[in-house]
Amino acid sequence: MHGPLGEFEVVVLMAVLRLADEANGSAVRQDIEHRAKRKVSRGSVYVTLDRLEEKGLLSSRLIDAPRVRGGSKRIFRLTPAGLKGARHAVAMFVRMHDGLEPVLGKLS
Amino acid sequence: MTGWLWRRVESRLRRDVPSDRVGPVLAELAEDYAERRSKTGAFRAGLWLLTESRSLVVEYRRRDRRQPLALVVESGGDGASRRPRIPIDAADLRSALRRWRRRPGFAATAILTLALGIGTTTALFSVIDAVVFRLPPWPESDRLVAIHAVFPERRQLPASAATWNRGALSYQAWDLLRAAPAFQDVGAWRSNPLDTTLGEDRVQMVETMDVSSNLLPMLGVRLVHGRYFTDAEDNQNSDSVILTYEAWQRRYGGRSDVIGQPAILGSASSGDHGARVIVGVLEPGFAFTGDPVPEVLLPIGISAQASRRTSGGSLRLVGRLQPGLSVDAASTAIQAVVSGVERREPTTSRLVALAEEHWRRPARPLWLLFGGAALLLLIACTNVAGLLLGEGRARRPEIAIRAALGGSQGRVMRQLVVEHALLAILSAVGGLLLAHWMIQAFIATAPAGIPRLASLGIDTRVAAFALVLGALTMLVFGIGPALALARTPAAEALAQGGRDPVSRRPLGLRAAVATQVALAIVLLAGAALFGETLLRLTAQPLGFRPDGLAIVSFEETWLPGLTRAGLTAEEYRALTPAQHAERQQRLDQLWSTGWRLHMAGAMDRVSALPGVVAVGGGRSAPFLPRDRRSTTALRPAGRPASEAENVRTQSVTEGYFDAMGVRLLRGRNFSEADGTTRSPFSPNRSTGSRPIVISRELERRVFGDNAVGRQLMAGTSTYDVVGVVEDVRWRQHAEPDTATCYFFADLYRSVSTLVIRTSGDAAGILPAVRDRLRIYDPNLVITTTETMDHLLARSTSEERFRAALSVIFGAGALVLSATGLYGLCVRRVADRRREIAVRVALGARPDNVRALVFRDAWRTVAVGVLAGVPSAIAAVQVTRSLVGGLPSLSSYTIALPALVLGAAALVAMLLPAQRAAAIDPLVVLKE
Repeated sequence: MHGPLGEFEVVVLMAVLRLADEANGSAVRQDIEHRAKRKVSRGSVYVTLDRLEEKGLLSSRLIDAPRVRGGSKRIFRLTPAGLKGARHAVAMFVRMHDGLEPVLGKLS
Repeated sequence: MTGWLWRRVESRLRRDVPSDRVGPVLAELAEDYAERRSKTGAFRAGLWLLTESRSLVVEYRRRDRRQPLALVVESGGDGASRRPRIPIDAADLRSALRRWRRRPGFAATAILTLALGIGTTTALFSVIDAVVFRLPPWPESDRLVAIHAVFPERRQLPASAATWNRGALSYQAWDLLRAAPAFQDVGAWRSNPLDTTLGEDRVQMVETMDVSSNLLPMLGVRLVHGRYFTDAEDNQNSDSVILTYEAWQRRYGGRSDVIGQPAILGSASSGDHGARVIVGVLEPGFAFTGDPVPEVLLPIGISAQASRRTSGGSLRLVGRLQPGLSVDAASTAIQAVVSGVERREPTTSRLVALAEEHWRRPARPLWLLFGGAALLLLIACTNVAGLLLGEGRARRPEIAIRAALGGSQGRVMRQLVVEHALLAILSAVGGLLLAHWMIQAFIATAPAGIPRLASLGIDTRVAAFALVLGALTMLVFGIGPALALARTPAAEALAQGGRDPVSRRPLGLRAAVATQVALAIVLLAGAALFGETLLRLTAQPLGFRPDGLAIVSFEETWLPGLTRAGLTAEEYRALTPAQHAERQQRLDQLWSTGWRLHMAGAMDRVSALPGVVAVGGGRSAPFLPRDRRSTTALRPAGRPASEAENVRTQSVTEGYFDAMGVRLLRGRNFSEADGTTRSPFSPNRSTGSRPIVISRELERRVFGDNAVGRQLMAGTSTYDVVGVVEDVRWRQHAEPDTATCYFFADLYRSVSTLVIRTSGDAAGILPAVRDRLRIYDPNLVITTTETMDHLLARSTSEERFRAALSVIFGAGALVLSATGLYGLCVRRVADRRREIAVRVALGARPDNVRALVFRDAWRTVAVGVLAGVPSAIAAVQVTRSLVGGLPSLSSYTIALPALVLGAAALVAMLLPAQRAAAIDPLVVLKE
């Protein structure tokens, strides 16, 4: 159905998961910048969110925001497939990490 | 400000972000922005907003590009809502710029070529616009006419060929015409020789103009201060003068209390040196006759009394016709009046609309230049059309792919139109820039006599002209290539695997190049015609040696003027009667006895300068701006006075002929021993004969053969002809031999010009001459210090100007058409690479290949030449009808351009031919 997830895609999925009902594009970006300690552009976050939705890993709903320009916000959440994909990616990381602790250090 | 920024951001996002996504993207952006704004302020938040929105646009675009199918989708329903269909799309612009960045050569060449054509045409348009299209500022100018005297008998005389039908009229004629029913009013004016102003400054020269009291109101010239002249001042002496605005500013610093201020004028013609009072100041920009622009206006009555006694005409008349009367009807009505009053010789009259006379006529040769510029533009256009054809060919695969992916023909067309519009605008802007420089150069080099040059410049009309020109050229010359390109069948182009299809017959390109060749021949013929005119003119023998000759000329009337010379007005007014008398006495002494010593002293000072070979003195010298020679009636001794010939006279010192380099044909030069007798200008004439030197033409006319030893009479004086010298041109290279006699200026009294022969650098010596003379006599008013080369150049300035412009046009045309031909050759060689490779493989030698290229291109050149030669002949005939004094059509006016063009064509073909000859069949056939 879809190929392996890219690194950034995994990061975005995790941010959406953490933010739960607050997961709009702007919040996702802030979360990533805050935790991953790296600058990401607004455009790349939105494009990635769209792409993940197209792949069926995210779903979204609009909530009205009548007082702001644009008139609505989009809140994302993970679909079951998304959850599976994220799990799969994390598990893969863990498996790959196995035996490399002396070199790479513990997974926090 | 925020509103504007947001509108911009929103429209960008709505364009590039899918419509179902854009709402939330905007809302969240707006929220973050509001927060950021409260923290960092509007400005920094604005900057942030721009970066953020840019990142969104960039990322969504990049995503679109990764999905090639989007192109097809785009032209469907979904794309329609995202891309509003407006005629010009920023994306088209960007894509055009992107392409040009990749191929800077094409864009630069096209823009430069067009800008050159547009610039030249625009520059000349601005001249024509200022000179021809603007209406004269005179009230009811269609009823104003210039009244000329016509002297039919002078028509055949070469010297008066240009002036026989625009003569001046007498006071009597003026009086009668003012009373004539045809006119409401008749004004008079007269442009005066240089006068000596003794204003607040030291002695200076200014241009003056005498005007009748009604002339200024007739022309609608207003005053900023004071009053016009009164009717009474038309007929009697008056102390009034009117300053032009410019003179008021320059000489009086725009002082508001200038009315009633004294201005002291010394006039060469009337010899009066009285104090005058300023009664008025004109509004800015008074330039009725164009050139020279006067600084001071005098009432015409000043010299009326003297002039009324002579029957000769000196007045220029301007009439205002009765309402409803045509120029022709008025012309017939006044014929009898003029013929009746001017009795010195048969005279008729001619009326010319004043607007034509002083406004449009001087501009007629400009149309020719404009035509030349237009031809150049046409060549530039065909050149660019050729470029576009070539460019279009290179883009066929690209266009084909676009079409295959769903880009409609209209969409492709739109892209091309945008590109062409961009080309047109950039070329027009470049053209305007070029035109600006060209106008500056034009003003600096244009010959005298083109009116209102100073007001030239780029205004909205001219800018609009350039833009329209740019748009038109691209419309006319870009549409063909664009249509050809847009119609490219996608399948055909793609079937060739993106490689160029070989078009065997680049007919469009051939036609463009042939047109360029033909037009270039026309322009080159123009250059040859004007160049030949100039060469022939300057090759005429002058009768003296101009190289290394310097001329210094003084104000003739400075001696009488000395009562005031050297003093400021203040100092002059402060003179006591005793000082005044002493000054006068000193001057009288100088005048009667000391002048020779004085002048000889001046000449000695000049001859002592290093580099000076010889110095001579004369009343005047050839090619000086003002011809001061007078005329004397001479007859062979013993003949009746009725047989006397009018002869130009010049007074010279013994060193004059040597310094001028005038060849002595027979007899001898004047010597100091001749000086024991008196000059004809001496107040106490002695009897007995005096020596005289005559020109060859005078000898031929009066004696037929050797005149040395014979005698001439002027009035009751007798002269012995002691020598005959070569004929000398005085005012123009082309003037006929003039009978001239040279009197001996033994007392130097009428000497006001020094001719200085230097060993080489005449220009370099002028400052030293000026300094030396100034130290020697601070009162000397030096009017001219010039090299003869410079004076000669000025006399041919019009011819040189035309020749220079036509040569520039010709050269431009040559370069452009050669470039066009080069492009054609390159293209043909590229088209025939395989064919040539096969030929080489089959044993063709490099020479055969070169010949192949030459034969191919020559056909086009030949077509161009065949069309160009008859056009050139026609153009030369038209030119000759517009500009006088041109030689008749010579075979080499036509042959030379064809030859030059052939040579240029050869050069243009050389490189492509060489490349063709170097084609390696092994490489090409393997491709």
